[in-house]
Amino acid sequence: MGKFLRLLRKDLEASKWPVTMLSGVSLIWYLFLRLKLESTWSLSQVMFLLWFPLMFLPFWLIWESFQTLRTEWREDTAYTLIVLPVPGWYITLSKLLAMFVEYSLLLAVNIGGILVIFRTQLPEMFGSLLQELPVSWLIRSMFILYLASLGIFTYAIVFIQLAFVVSKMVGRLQGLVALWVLALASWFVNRMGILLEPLFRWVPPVSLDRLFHMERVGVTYDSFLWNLSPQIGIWLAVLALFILTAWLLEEYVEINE
Amino acid sequence: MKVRRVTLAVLLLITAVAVADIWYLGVGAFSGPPHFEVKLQCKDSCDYPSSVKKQRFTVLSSDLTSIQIENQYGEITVRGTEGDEMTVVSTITVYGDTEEDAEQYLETVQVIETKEDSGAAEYMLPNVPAGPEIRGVIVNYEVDLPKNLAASVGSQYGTIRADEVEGEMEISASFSDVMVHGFKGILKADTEFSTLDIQDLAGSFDLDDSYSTVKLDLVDVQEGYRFDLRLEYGSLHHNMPLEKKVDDGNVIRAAGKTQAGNFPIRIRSSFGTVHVHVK
Repeated sequence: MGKFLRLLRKDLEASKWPVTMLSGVSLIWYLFLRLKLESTWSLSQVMFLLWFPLMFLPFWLIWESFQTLRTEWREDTAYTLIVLPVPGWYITLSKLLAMFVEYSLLLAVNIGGILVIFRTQLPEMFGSLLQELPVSWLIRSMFILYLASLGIFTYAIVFIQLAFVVSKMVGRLQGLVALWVLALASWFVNRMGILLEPLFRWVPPVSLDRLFHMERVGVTYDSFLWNLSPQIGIWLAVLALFILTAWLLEEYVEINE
Repeated sequence: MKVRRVTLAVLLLITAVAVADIWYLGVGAFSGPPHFEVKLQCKDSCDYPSSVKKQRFTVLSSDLTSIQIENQYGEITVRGTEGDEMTVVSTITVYGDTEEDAEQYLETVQVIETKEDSGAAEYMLPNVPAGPEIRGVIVNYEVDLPKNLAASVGSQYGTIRADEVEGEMEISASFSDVMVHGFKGILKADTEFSTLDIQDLAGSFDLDDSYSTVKLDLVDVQEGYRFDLRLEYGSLHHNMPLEKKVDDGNVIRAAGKTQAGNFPIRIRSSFGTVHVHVK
């Protein structure tokens, strides 16, 4: 456990500067918008531009999950990493968790930044929304969506880690091989979800309107059901790809190209 | 070198399986069983146990100047009446996981009547927080409205009906169906994402709308109508002669009148479809 935490700390240390820089850029953007709101721009213009840093976040996360592995090769630390007396999944999982921490921090900085910088405009910006929706419901729903986004990012990060590791196992055209692996991994995960679905039909669907307590905001007509039976096969396939990535990294990746 | 060769061989093998899979089963086979389903439950056939309560409010029209009703999900029906009593009958339906839950919650909610010194009366269900065991609360209003008593009705995700009403009426609606029949007087509406079906209107009409479909059928009266229509990014259909201008290809302005042109018909619509016919 100690070794895993040291790896995690190393990955978090490495992401310190990008996170600080992105947080700073986001906060400067919000301050700029606040100044523009006080001078010339209308509230609707500012509201539209306000979400740009948050919309950029998923793309950055996907890039960063690739970059965090690439840096190990570029800075010649990959060899040290691989010869460490730790299983391969320690390395991939620490990078995955580091990405979660980075994402959570950036999300917190962005939302906190908006709340603090625009605190006097909040009633005007979100007043009508808060009149319709209880704050406790909003916070709970946003937390569930945050957990769901972590799940989706896990898919993306596992795919990218596998693509990167396999690309390092071939001599040439590594970028092309990485894209090739991404396509095959998508096919494999999708197909596993379909093939294993009959095995998990006994699992009851999750009612999303119950999960989100939609009755608290007056939505009662429709019931959105999330079928877990095809989903479980996909989760198992993603887990299998994660284990495969760790095994390939531990056993077969060549450092000297 | 061996690792590289084996990696490439495995990738090629998996690719061959994937290509064969797509070749024989088709891309459609990728969709598989649905991950999400929508189970429609309309209020008439709600699966959950329910409990119902009615309230009746009666006021002499001489004691009132106007009434106001705001609602979500339910239906507001306004009927014009010859009498001098205004009545509002509200039907509250609570859906719960069990009938007991619904009944218990129903005891805590009721429609409130608020009267102001000016003679304005408002009817509404206060927003009472519901527990997770409550699956929905729907209020339907039925109003008998004497002539020349002003009414203001608002609906979100619901329905508004007005039959044979005479006087002044304001409608605000979003994501709702609005059906007005045989209205005489001044009708004002502020709507979005709704459908408005107004039949046999004799009087003036003022509409501010976005993203709705509007059908306005006017009775051909001697007083006549004066049209002032402006549609942004929308379409206009009419059966009377109108002077039409199209600015920048996106803004349609239409003006004209029938007979004496006494009743103003003013429509401002964005991203909507408007049909205006004079019978």
